[in-house]
Amino acid sequence: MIRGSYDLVVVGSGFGSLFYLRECLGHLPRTARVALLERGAYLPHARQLALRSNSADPEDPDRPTSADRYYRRLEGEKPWNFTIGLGGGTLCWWGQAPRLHPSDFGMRRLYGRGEDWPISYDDLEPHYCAAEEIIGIAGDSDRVGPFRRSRPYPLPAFRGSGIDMALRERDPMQLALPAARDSIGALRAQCCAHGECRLCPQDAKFTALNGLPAVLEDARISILTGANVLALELEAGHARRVVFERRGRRQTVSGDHVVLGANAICNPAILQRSGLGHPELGRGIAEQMGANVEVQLAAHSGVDGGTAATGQNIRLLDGAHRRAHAAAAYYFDNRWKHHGLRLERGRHLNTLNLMVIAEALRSERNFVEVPEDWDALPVIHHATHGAYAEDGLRAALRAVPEIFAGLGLERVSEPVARPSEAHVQCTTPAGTDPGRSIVDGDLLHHRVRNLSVVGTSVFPTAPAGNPSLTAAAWSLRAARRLFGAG
Amino acid sequence: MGRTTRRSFLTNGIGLVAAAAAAGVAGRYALTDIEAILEAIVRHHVGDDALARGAAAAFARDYAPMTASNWKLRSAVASGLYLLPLFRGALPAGDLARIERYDRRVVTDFLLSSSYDGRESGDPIDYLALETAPLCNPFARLR
Repeated sequence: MIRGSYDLVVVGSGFGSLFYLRECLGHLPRTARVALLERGAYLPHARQLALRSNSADPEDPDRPTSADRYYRRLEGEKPWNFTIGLGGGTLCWWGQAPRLHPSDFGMRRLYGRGEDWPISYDDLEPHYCAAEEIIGIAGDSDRVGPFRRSRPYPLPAFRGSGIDMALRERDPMQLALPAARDSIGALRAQCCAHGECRLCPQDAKFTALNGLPAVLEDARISILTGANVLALELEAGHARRVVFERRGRRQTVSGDHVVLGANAICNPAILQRSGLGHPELGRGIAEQMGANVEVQLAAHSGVDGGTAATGQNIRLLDGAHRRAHAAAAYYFDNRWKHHGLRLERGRHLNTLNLMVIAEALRSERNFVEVPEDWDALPVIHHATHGAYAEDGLRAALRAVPEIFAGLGLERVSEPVARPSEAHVQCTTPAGTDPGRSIVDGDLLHHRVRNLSVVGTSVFPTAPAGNPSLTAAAWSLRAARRLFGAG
Repeated sequence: MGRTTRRSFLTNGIGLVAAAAAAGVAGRYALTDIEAILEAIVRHHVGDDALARGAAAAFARDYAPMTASNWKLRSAVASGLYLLPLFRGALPAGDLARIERYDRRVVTDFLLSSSYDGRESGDPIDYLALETAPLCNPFARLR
């Protein structure tokens, strides 16, 4: 039951919200009251497996639901993937957990493209460590490349596939891909390399349900699922009440501080309906642009690693090319799902699915349209990833043979586009200039100072690396600083 | 001289021409024909010398009911000439790619259902039981 006034009202329960909340709980008094409003249902892991879905209709928990019921898109435009449910993106993510590249935070300053982030890699570094500890990331602490770190990973890295390990021996740009899957069974069940991480059969992947039970069960928190937050009511420049609808009934809950962490589609919609329109609000919706290619090799297996994806090649993740086109990451998938094993005798396993992911920048042509009618779904306009991302992806695909030079490369297939990276970003960007951004580096709304906006919607750019770890780390930092501890 | 049975005729490749033609005319496929083609695909790609006796046939028996209505199989059957190098060269690239995708699926499912991983070097590959778990990875090395 949500009733009365709360010290903290948290909207949404993905990485941004729950890591922010986790940090707050360490600072709030034992008498504090926190309301957590989640639009989706609570679906325990076993129930997710039974339904073959991370999310269910809150009105009918036996009915799986999907992201496309929560937004509209124009004919022919790309789909957007996310999870509506208690735990949000922590349920459906694959557990790829790289840090962003230090240069990702200074794109305008370094390369004259996109926007600078209001924080630097070094600002975030201790909070990266904290998030990695909480999540239980498996990574290689001895070989970190440009991702300088002050603490070792909490779990050892997974063994790479044959081709991944061969490259690590000869290419300094080949690194283990940090993963939120348990490599030794220390925190959760050990990963069995099943390869179906969206619904991990072992529960070896970090989710809010298996990794943050102390947060979700904290006696100070009241959780309300099925609560569709529509808007905030403001008074004298402060957020006073959160308006939500549940089972067809419109209600409000008041709070001293509001944390908005729905997702990058819902966050701008809620702010727009709250009268907090801004030229950049909802503009620039972005996610990375990706393609898969199959790489066939004479002598190395690409499917015998210890988890679903084992390695990353960072040769195009940073460099002067970013003045002209996007950076790109290469992820070494450990599965044959897209193409099958090889037919040739003695080489059945010598196949690698290489995921090639290019960064994207905000474009004003891409935006979330929020209808006047509060009951109508947001409409996403996304005509294109933009020439910067497209050129970057093309360059990265052309460069694939260079990675495997001298390793018996036999064939690189035609690329197959990845329809969605499930990383919706950039619709409430953070920045130092209130005229060009929605929140500041502490994730506080420039105008409404008791309102924090969290999650990947605050990213000023959409770097090639997976964003979830950064969303979690940035929330930890922002919450610490809210209490003067950062 | 060995006796030429219908099955050996098909699995040696030659009969695929007839099977394809018959299937095309009839518009439907007898399970035995599908089994023979599945067996032929496994034997052709994995190799008789690598296979335990009867492994491909046993796999095909279990696998055929799962794929009998699969349009990809029908297209493979309809283009069943492809196991013969002479005809393979005459096929359009699109058909070859489609066939290769189907063959890879069959060979993958066979290898996942077999002793391919974990057997001693030189041991023949035997069929164990149809593996139906999606994306289970028996080749993973956890340590």
